Amino acid sequence: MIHLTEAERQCVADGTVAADETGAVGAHLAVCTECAADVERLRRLIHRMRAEPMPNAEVEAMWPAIRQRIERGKVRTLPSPAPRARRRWRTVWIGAGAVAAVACLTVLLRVRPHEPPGSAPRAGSFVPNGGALSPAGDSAGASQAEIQRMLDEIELEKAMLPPSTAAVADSDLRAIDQAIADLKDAIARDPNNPALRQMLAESYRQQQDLLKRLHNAS
Amino acid sequence: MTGDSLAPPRLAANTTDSAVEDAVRRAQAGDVDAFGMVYRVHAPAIHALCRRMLGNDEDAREMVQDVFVRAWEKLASFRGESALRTWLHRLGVNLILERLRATRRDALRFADDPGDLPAAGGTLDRRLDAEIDLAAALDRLPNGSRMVLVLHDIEGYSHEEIAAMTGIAPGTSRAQLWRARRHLSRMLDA
Repeated sequence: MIHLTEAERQCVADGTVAADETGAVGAHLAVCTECAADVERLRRLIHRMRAEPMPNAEVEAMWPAIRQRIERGKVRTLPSPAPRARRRWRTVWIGAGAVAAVACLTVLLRVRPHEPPGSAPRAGSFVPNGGALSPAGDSAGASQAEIQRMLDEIELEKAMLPPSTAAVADSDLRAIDQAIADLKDAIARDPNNPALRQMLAESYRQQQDLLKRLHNAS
Repeated sequence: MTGDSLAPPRLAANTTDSAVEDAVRRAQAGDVDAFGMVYRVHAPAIHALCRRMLGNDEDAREMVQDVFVRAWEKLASFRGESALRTWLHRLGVNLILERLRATRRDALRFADDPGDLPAAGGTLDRRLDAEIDLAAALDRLPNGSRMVLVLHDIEGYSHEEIAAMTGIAPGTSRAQLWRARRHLSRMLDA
């Protein structure tokens, strides 16, 4: 007698025997106790595996750790915007200061009585000279030199400023430039007004300070 | 149910499929409590899969966590074309295979010759009871053989599906299954 092959026994046991082999295999099993016993052993094993209760597990005890991992995964670390925001607010405040200076200047020009055109400049004041500021005395000369030094530094700071940083502070710089231009116009009309010159110097300092801060920040 | 509770939210005793489906939908929308209900329903089966395939309880518990955390992350991609159980099982099998490949050099070692398989007797013979624990016998099989046996005979995957998941040929899967059954049978009859 030729017994069933291993493949045939296994396939009969798990029910995957080909349809065209079912008849011949069944006929053999009906007469061969050895093959029938072997197939039956395999069937019991497969049945036992499928009927095996699931391993006991306290799955509820695992949930807190899973939940914790899920909640942790929800938190996404975003780059902190704090430093940029601080720099931005600083430039905004400086710009606002420049705008306020322009407003003060306007008020000052309206309320202050003009001196007669022929009166001599006071010490420590500047007179316009072809659009530039000229010293009217020794102390005025020192002030003019100080302003020129600041202008040189401002140009240098502007040149060294990265384009991206300059773009961020562009509106603030333009506000200060506008304030400076207005002050120059005011000084041209009222060359003996020391308050205007003081404000102009202050505007230059503000601009210089802003540029330095931007430069340091970048 | 609050988020601080240590136990996963319970579904009512007469839980219906639609209640689970509703929990899945809410979980997909980001409701962790609803996902806890889904977990309660499916965790025992996933744990059983992990326990049988990995062969020890500590690894199985870790893997259950990984499976459900991954399931949470991918839940939005579950469209409901297959049953959630099938989807979770496939996810679990993939993660288990991934873990075994990454952490064990012999992860997918199959029993190519009789020497690779444990002999009947030995440690198991020394058990107090004559009745040999099926789980303990399964644990003694080489990883690859145990996986094919678990996937085919317990989880119901076809050889073609096993081949696709593990990268072996369907014929190899069959041969490993038959060999593993024989050795398991001998161990249990010992």
